Amino acid sequence: MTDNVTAEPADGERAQAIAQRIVDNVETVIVGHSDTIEQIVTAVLAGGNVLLDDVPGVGKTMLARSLARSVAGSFRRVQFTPDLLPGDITGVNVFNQKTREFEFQSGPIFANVVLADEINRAPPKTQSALLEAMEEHQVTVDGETHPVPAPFTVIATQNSVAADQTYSLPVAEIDRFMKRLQLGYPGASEEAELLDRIVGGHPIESLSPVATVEEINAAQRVVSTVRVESSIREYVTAIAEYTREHARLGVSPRGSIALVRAAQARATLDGRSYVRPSDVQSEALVTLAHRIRPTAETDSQATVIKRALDSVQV
Amino acid sequence: MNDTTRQQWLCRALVVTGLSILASSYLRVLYTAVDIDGDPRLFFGLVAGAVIAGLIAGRFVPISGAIVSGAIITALGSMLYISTIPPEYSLSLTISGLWGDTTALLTGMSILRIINAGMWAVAVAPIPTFLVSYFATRRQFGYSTLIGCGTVAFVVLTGDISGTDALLGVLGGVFTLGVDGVERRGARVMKTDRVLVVLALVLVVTASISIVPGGSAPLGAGGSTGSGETVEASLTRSDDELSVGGSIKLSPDVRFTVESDRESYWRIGAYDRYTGDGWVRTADTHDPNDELTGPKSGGSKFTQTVSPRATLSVMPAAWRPISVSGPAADATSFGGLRPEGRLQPGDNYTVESIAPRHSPRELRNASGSYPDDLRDRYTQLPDSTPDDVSQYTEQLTANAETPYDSARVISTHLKEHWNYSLSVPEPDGQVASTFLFDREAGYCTYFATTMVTMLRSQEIPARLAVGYAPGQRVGQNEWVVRGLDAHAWVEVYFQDVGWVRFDPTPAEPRQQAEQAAIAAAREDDAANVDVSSSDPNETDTPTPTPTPEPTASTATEAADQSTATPGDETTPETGPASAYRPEAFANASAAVSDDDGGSTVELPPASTILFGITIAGGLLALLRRWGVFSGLRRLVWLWNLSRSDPKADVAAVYDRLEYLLTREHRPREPGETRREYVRDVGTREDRRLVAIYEQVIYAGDRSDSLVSEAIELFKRRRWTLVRW
Repeated sequence: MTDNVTAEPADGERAQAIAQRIVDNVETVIVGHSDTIEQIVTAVLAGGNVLLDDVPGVGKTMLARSLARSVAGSFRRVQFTPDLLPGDITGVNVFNQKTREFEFQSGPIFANVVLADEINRAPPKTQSALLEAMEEHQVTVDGETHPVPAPFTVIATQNSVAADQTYSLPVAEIDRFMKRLQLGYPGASEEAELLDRIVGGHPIESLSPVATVEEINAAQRVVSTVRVESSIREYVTAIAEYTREHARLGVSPRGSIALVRAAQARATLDGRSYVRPSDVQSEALVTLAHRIRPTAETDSQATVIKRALDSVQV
Repeated sequence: MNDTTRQQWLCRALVVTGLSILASSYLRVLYTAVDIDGDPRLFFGLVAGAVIAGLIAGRFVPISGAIVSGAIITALGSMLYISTIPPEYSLSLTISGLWGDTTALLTGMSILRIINAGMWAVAVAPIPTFLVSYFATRRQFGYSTLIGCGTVAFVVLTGDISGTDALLGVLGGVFTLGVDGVERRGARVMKTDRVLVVLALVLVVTASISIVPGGSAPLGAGGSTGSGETVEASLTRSDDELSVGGSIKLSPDVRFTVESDRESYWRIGAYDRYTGDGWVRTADTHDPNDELTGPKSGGSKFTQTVSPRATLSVMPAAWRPISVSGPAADATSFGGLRPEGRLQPGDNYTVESIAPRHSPRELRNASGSYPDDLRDRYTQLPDSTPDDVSQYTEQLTANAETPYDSARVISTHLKEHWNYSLSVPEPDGQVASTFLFDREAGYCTYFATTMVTMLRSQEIPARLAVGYAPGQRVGQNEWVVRGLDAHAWVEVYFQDVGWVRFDPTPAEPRQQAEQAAIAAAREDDAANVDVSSSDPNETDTPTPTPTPEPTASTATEAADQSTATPGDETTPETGPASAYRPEAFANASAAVSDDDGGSTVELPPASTILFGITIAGGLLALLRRWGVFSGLRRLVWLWNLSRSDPKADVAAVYDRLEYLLTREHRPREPGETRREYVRDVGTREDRRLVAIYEQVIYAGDRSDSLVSEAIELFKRRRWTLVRW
C-alpha cells in the first residue's frame, strides 16, 4: 500500500494517516520501543535530525533502517570511522577527462534518509561535514552549493560505551539534532518476541515503503501549520529559561524551536491541528536533554528537564 | 531599601508607638500632678531629657552603667523633691514617714495628696522614662514594657490613673510585646493581626467584666445615671478626693438628727488642692497642726448632739468644733472631725463648737498679706487653668478693694446669674471655666468650686468645704438631716480672723429640688425618708410616717428663715447663705465620679474612638484570620461570570473550576496539564470543560456555543461548593 488510499481527507488527517502508517510499518520490525518509534517518525515529519544514542546491539541501526525503508525515497548509509574524510560524505569535484571540466561527484549525503552510523568514531572535522546539510539542507563543496533532496533526515547513531576510542560530538553539532533518542534494552517478553521474529529470515528484508517522498513533504507542510497558541509558546520559553537558570549550559533558542516543531508533529500524529501542553511535555525530554550541560556532576541531563517540567507552571 | 529592611523599620515604628502609648499613660497621670501644682516646663524638659539620655545611653552604656545612671537620676530627683518641701513637713522625711508614705501610696493614697505633688512628679517621671527609652534603644522591649507597666501599676495602686488611661497603657504594652514577638520570629508585619485580635480581646473583656476596675469606663458608654450613687456619696465619703462630675441624684434617706442650740451647717471637712476637675486633701496624715482650736476672733460657744440614723464614716459638726465627746475621734488639719471607725445608729456624740463672730468691718480690714505656706497652699491652681477665668474675675472685682469685697461680689454674682440644676453634663476640661463660660447651670459643687477658683485667681486664699446643710427643722432645737442635705460651700481665709464661710449656691432652687426629691420619695413609700422627731427608732419603718413638717410648712419656714443667718457665720455676707436653711437638701455637690449626664452629642473622647478603632481592627483581623473576607471575595468571584471575549471567559471559568477542584481534592501541580489534572480529580463534566478550554484556548475555536456550554457546565458545578 502506498498513498492516496483515502479519497479526500483533510490535510491534517492525511498527514496523521501517513505518520501512523510509518509507525505501524516500523513496528513490524522493531519490537517494543513504540514511544521511540513515534518520536523518530515525528522528528522526520518535523524535518529534524535524530541522534540514536545507546549501547551497541539494542537495534539503533535496525530502527534507522526500518524507518528509511518505510519511506519510498533514497537511503544512504555512512559508516563513520576514524579515517573517514569530509569529502567521503559530501562528495568531491572530480576532473572529467572527457569534458575537460570538474564534475561534482555527490557523496552519500545526497539522499532522503542518511544513516550516519557510529558518528562519534570519526574526528570532529568529518562530523562537521554534516553540519551544513543538517541545518541548511545544502552542501557546499569548493564554493559550489548543492541542495540536498527533500525530505532530508540524518539519523545518526552513537555508542555511549567505549568512549576512549571515540570523539564526542561538538556542542554545535549536537545542537543540530532535533532529538536524541535512547532505546534501552527490551523487556523480557519483548526480547522473546524479537527472537521469535528473526527465526526464518529477518523481517526487515520484507519491509516495503508505506509513504512516498511527496507524501512526506506534504505532511511536513501540514506539521508546520499546526497552531501554536501564545500560551504554549510562553510555556516553551519558560522551560528553556528554566534550563538556562539551572544548568551550566541551557537550551538554545534552536532547542526551543525544535521543541515547538516536535510538538507540532506530535499533535499531527495525534490527529490535532493545534498543540496542547501535553505535546510539549512529551517532546521536551528528547528534544532538549542533549543540549544541556548540567551544573552538578550528579545531575543528569534528563533530570534537569524533568525538573523543569515539574516546576514550570503549565 | 529592601523588603526586609522595610519590615524591620515598620516593626520598630510600631513598637515605638506602643511604648509611647504606654509611657504616655503614666506620664499623663504625673502631668496631672504637675499641672495642679508644679512646673510643666520643667516636667516636659526632664521627660524629654530622659528620653534622649536613654537613647544615647542605650547606644553606648552597658547595662550596669544604665543602672548606675538610673540610680543617679533617682538620687537627683529625690534631692530636687526634698529641697522643695516646706520645712514643717520635714517630719514626713523620716524613714518611717517615707515608709508610711509609700505604703499609703500603694494602698490607694493619691499622689495628689503628696505635699509637693507637682515636684514629686517632676522628680519621679524621668526615672521610668529613662529606663524605657534605654531598653528600647537596646531593643530589649520586654524590659521597656516591664518598667512602663510597672509604673502604670504603681499609679493604678495609688488610684490616680483613670481606667481608660490604665487600659491604654496595658494595651500599649501588649502591643509592643506582640509586635516585637512577631518581628523576632521573623514573621511579616501583617501577622500582627494576631496582636490586634489580642488587643481587641483585652478591650472587650475588660469592658464587659465589671469586676475589672474601671472596666466599664473605657468605652465611655456609661449609663445616663450612675446606678446607686448619689450626690451625697462624694461629699461625705471619708475619702480625701472629690471629683466634680455630671448629673447627680439626691438621696432622701435620713442620715442623722441633731439637737443643737442653734442652726448651723454641719461641716465635715474641707479640700485644699484643686485639680481642675476635682478636689484633693493634701498630706492630711502628717499635718502637725491637727488640733481643735477655737476661732481667733472669738465667738459664742454652743453644743450639738448628733444622733446618726445610718452608718456614717464622717462626723458632721458645726464650725468651729473645739471638743467632742462620744466615740473616739481625731481632728483634721481642716478643723474638722474624723471618727476612728464607722458611726452606727446610736453612736451619738456631742460636739462643743464656737461660732466665730466677726463683723464685715473686721473682715474688710483684714490684711491682704498672708503667711507664705498658707498662701501657697490655698491659692494653688492648675497651670492649665484658663486665663479667661482670671480675667473675668478681675473685671468682676475691679471695684472691690478688699478680699472680703471680692468674695462678696463673686458670691452674689454667681448666685444671681447661674441657675441651679442637678442634671448637667460632666464638665469637659476645667470645672470653673466650663461653668463660667459654657454652662448656665450647675449644683453646689460647681458653684463652690468656681468661686474658689475665681478667688484663688485673685490670690485670695480659699478652700472648698463640704458637709450638710442644716436640714429640716423638726423641733425647737432639733434638725433632721438627709442625704440630700449634703452640700459644698466656700471658706475664705482672712488674716487674723480665720476661715469664713461663703455660699455661692442659690438657695431657693436648691431647696425646691430637694423638696421635690423628698416628696417623690415619700410617694414611693421609701424607707428612711422621715424620722419621727419623737421616735428615733422609726427610721426603719417602711410606711410613710407622717412627716414632721409638711412640705408647705417647710416652704414657709424657708421663707421665715431666709433672713436669719445660718448660725455659723454671723457676717452679713453670709446672708445669702441663710437662704439655705430650711430644708435643704444637699445641694448636690460633688458628683460622684461617674454619674454623667451624657446629654450632649459631642464626639466621644479620643480614647473611646481609639478603643473603637482597636476593637474594630481586632474584629477585622479576626475575620481575616478566619478567612471570612477571602471567602466572601471567592464567593463573589465564583458567582460573577461576566462575558467578554471567548478566550477570557473560558479561562475564567476554568480558573474557577480549578479553585473548586483544589478545595475538593488537591491543587494542580505546576507541571501538570489541565487535562491530566481533571482526568485525575475531576468529574466527566469537568473533563468536558477542560476539553472546551483546550478547544478554545489552544485550537483557537471561538464559537459562542462552546463558551456557553462551558459556562452552563460551571454554573451547575459551582453548587458543589455549598454542599462541600
